[in-house]
Amino acid sequence: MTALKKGEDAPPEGADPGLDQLRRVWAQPKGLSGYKEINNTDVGRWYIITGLFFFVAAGIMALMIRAQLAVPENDLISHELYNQLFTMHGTTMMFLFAVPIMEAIAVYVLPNMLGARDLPFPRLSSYGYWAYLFGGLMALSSLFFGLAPNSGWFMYVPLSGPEYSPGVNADFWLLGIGFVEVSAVAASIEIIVGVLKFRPPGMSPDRMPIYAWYMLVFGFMVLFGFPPLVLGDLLLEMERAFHWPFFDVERGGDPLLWQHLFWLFGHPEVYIIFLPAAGIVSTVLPTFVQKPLFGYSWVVLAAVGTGFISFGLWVHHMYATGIPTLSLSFFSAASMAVAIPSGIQVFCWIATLLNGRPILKTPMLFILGFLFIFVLGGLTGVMVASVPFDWQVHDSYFVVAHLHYVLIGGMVFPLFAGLYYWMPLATGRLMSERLGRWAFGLMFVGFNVTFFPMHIVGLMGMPRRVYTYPAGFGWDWYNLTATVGAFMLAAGVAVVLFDSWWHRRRGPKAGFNPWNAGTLEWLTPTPSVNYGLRSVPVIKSHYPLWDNPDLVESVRRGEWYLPDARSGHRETIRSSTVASRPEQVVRLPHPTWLPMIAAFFTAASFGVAIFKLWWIAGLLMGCLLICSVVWLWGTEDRPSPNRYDVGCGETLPIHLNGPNTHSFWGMALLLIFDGTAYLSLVFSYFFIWTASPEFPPPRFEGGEMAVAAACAVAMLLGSAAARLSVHANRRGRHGLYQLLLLVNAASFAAGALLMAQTLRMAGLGPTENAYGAVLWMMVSWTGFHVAISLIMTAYCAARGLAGRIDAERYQTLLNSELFWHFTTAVTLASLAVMHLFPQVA
Amino acid sequence: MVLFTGGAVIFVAVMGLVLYALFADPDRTRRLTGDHLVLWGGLVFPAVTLAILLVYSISVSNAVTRPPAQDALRVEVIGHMWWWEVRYLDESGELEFVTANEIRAPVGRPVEVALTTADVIHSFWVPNLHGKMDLIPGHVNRIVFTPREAGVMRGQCAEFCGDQHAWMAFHFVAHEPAEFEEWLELQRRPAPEPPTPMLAAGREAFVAYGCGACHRVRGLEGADGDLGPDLTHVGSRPSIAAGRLDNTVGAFGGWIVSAQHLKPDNFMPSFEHLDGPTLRALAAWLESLE
Amino acid sequence: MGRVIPRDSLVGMVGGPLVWTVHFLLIYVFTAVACAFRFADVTFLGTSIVNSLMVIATLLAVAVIGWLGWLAWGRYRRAGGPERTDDPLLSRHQFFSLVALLLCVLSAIGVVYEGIPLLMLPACG
Repeated sequence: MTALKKGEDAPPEGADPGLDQLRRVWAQPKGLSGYKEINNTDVGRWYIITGLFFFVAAGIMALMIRAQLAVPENDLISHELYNQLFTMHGTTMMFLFAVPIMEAIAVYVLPNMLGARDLPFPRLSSYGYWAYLFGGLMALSSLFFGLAPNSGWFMYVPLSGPEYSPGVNADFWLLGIGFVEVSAVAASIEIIVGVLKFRPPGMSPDRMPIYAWYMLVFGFMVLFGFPPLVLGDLLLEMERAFHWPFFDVERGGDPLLWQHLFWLFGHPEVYIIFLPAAGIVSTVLPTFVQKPLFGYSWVVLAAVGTGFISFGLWVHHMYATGIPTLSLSFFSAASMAVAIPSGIQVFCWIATLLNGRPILKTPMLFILGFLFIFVLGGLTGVMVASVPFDWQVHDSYFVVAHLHYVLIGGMVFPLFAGLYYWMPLATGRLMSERLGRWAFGLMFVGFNVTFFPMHIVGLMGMPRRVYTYPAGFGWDWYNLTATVGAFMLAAGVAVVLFDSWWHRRRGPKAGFNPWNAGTLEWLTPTPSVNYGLRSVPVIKSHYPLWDNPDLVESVRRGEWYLPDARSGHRETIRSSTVASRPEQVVRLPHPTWLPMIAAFFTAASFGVAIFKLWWIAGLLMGCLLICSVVWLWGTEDRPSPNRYDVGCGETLPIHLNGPNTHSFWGMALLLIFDGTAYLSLVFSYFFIWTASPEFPPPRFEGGEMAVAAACAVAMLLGSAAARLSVHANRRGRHGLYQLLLLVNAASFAAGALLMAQTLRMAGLGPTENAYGAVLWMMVSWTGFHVAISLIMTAYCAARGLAGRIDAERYQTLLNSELFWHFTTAVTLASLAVMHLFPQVA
Repeated sequence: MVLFTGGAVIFVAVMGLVLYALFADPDRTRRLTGDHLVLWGGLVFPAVTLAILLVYSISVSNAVTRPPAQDALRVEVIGHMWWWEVRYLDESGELEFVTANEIRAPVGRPVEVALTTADVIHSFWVPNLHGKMDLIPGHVNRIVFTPREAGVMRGQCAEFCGDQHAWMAFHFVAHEPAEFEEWLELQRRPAPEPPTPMLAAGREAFVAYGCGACHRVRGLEGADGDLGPDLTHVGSRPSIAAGRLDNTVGAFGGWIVSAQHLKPDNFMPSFEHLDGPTLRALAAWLESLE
Repeated sequence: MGRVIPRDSLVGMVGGPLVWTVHFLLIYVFTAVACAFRFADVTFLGTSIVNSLMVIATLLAVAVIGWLGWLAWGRYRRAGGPERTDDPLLSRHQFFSLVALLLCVLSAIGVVYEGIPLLMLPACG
């Protein structure tokens, strides 16, 4: 059926000039320079390995925890270390392992699945990776100095606040999370734009591999789910470092605000982790049944539906905080509703299984293990969704059991299935079936032995996060059993890790498409190559390899799009979002050190900020800024001619301006993220207002209102100047363009100062009370955006002078314009909240 | 119980279906598959079951959060890093007396506990009595329950609250009404006079070593501190140091000498250099405070 | 009809869940504000107006979702319903309208679930 049989190599050098060009252009630099590489295949591989490293680290912490709890009143580990261990175990698993490794897998396989040569912004994903690596190592290292965070992975204030955690421990947490946020946002923008725009011709959304749908939902969930935490982080750091009282009851703050912000992120987070894993299941399962996934539309419905409803669950972590029962019940209702899409998915998987005869290879075993554990975890999930039941088991070991069933069952097992499944793409060899069975057996049995008893001991009344417990309550044997299980589970993981190293030399050669899968990523030889497909075919179904047996040969012969790299550039095709018609040949950047250097400066500035060395941090941020300017300066090259023959009788433009370009989408998505963080700030304002209604809002007299109005006018003027500057540039009026940019900058600067002035006139400082703190936060928000806007204005002016923005290419200007308007919108909204709302209320 | 049985049945049914898919003849299993399977199994069945569950769980929470009866016993509980201050109020809401790490109530009468905290967030939980409720700065949360039979139950802080979260327990004691009245009567009184010279020496040591700077003993000059638990009737409590130790003379001695070893980083220093006789007298006196 | 939502747009596909989101935020914020300022004690014809208003909002949300679902159903039927087709345009229409329809069903269930406590519990108990 296929011409490339197992063990057969690709044709030799020189036999095929197009192929040689591709190989040369996409080759990883040799030696140490190899780390300059920004291609998704290499970055994705490092990303996955790093994720697994943090998994092992957090796993070792878990073993230490279990060792301490093996017997009652054990003093193997001190309470200080224990509290750091369980905090870091949760933090590392959630933030440094679960989310990043899901991004990592997507970075690695998604472009291949979509027939793209890379993701839309390779340097951004590379930057995200290095930021994650540096930040993660820094956060983890705190454990070796005894400075690790110790207030639990959800860091409830006031325990994590300045009074009860005066050391730098909590700051390490805030830092570590800051990094994961940076890399998660980078990855999610990358993934969304990749899925929506970097698809092969003909692959309209109804023909995308199902994994792409899951990752699309994942991307949007990160964009809407992470901002509340970013804001919470900022507020807590402001309270810790500068005593702005957002959570301090004495000064009108409320500790529940933190819980809301945290869980506004924290619950979607669970699904942010679960959906990509479900995507792996929906990808691997059909291969081992050798039948298409049953109910593609149903599964898309489930993924999208889960994405929405999971944002309505956050308060179900706060049932015991004294919120009125009716409000709790809304969240209880949503928590029950979210079980429906999960049910649909499970039944789609079962229907797929029923459709054929499953092949019980290792990846399939992990999928079956997943089904078992996840269904059980889902059922206990429905139980804890019930308010009165949760009052009983909340913060007990029952919840510990539940969350591990959902997370290990729902995420780690599918992940391992994915590792076994896609490993041949990375190494060209298969992992051992025998060791695989052992690993699965140890992990599955070990998992259940560890966590099932926890349900019981939780119902018996053992609270979570205790470093020891008294004997004689009947908890002893359950705990000992759990400890034994934990070591079994760890042994299983060790077998997998051993084999993933060992099989690289000893495993059987995988050859072409070893599992006889149907999706595009298996169209490359194994191990896979950086450029992905030799040529990019037109796609007509979900499983092109199954449905079109001739595809393999024709793709290999280079009969489709982009069969070579004669321009000497790395390039890939961008298609339209819905119809998937090819629209542009995107030239991608070549290997560079810049992302790594930029990530280093980011890490360094965060790192010194922990120790409150603000000047050095500012300096390092300046270096970061220089990096980004250098990074961006080379974009928007002037290709001549601006058409390129992509094969199949089509020529496409290379450079385009306008809202359809991937860079514009990237900016827009970034602003969605930014805007959601801003909305979280507005939420905080209203929360503080409802939490202490008797608290007087500041009285603004006529004078402040006039200044506020002037501020609004200044911002609008700035935006208008920005709009006009785009027109001026398009008409080639360079002088006017520069002048308008100057007006834009001046108005924005004036606007920010006027806004601060309104609060100064009202005599409101940021530290006296929570109102002042929130209002000053809004001013800071505008201040920050205006500062960035000014940098952008200067940058656009400089590009204009250098002839890099002109009438033909002005995408940089369009992207900046979007940001400028956003700044204006945020400022106007803040002014309304600050000055108009108190008049109404 | 309904939850567990229902959950177990669903689990077994789903897993049965998976096993059937794995091992039965594909020609037969194929007939089962189809949109109807997903529609009924994945959508209709969960939607209906969950709706019923939702109605049921709302009615349960409605029942357990009903506002307290007029004659409820009113108790205030204040969480401290790592012990429980318990304040009894009379009908008019006036403070009657303060105790620590124990709550006592008569069988059959509703109890309304008002929960606040002196420092960080704690959570009040007696597993065999009622669900939990958090103690949050700036908030007063209430929990209402009615003990059904006499007995002692252990409760424990359920929200991580720092170093000694693991040792922040208390006891809930349900008495027959008459017994409870006796207990109330006893608690209202100041600490008893020491009947023997040795106990009197213990009391002197208590003042001399500055224990009174943190602990209050009603009726004792120089013992009016508010940082630690009120010790007026500490000898009558089910445990000491928030459930860390049983209430015995030996335990008192051990606690005084090595509080930092038994419960590291709690706010009570270890009095390691106390000489033997003083320590014995002090421990005996404390134990005698019934 | 059918032109109200442009064909095959990703945003149009998630109309149902968007209504769910708006409704959810509305009732949550409304309860929080009403309880903070004690509007809940205001009654009209023996029921709290807070609850009544929210029940009305719920019915409204269900109606809007129902309408969106009906539109999606119409588009699905016109694209040939469940019949398999090789025409890429038609199969794309089928997919978008079917997913939109299913999402409406799910959102409607979600909104009705939110309505259940409204009928059973007082606003600020």
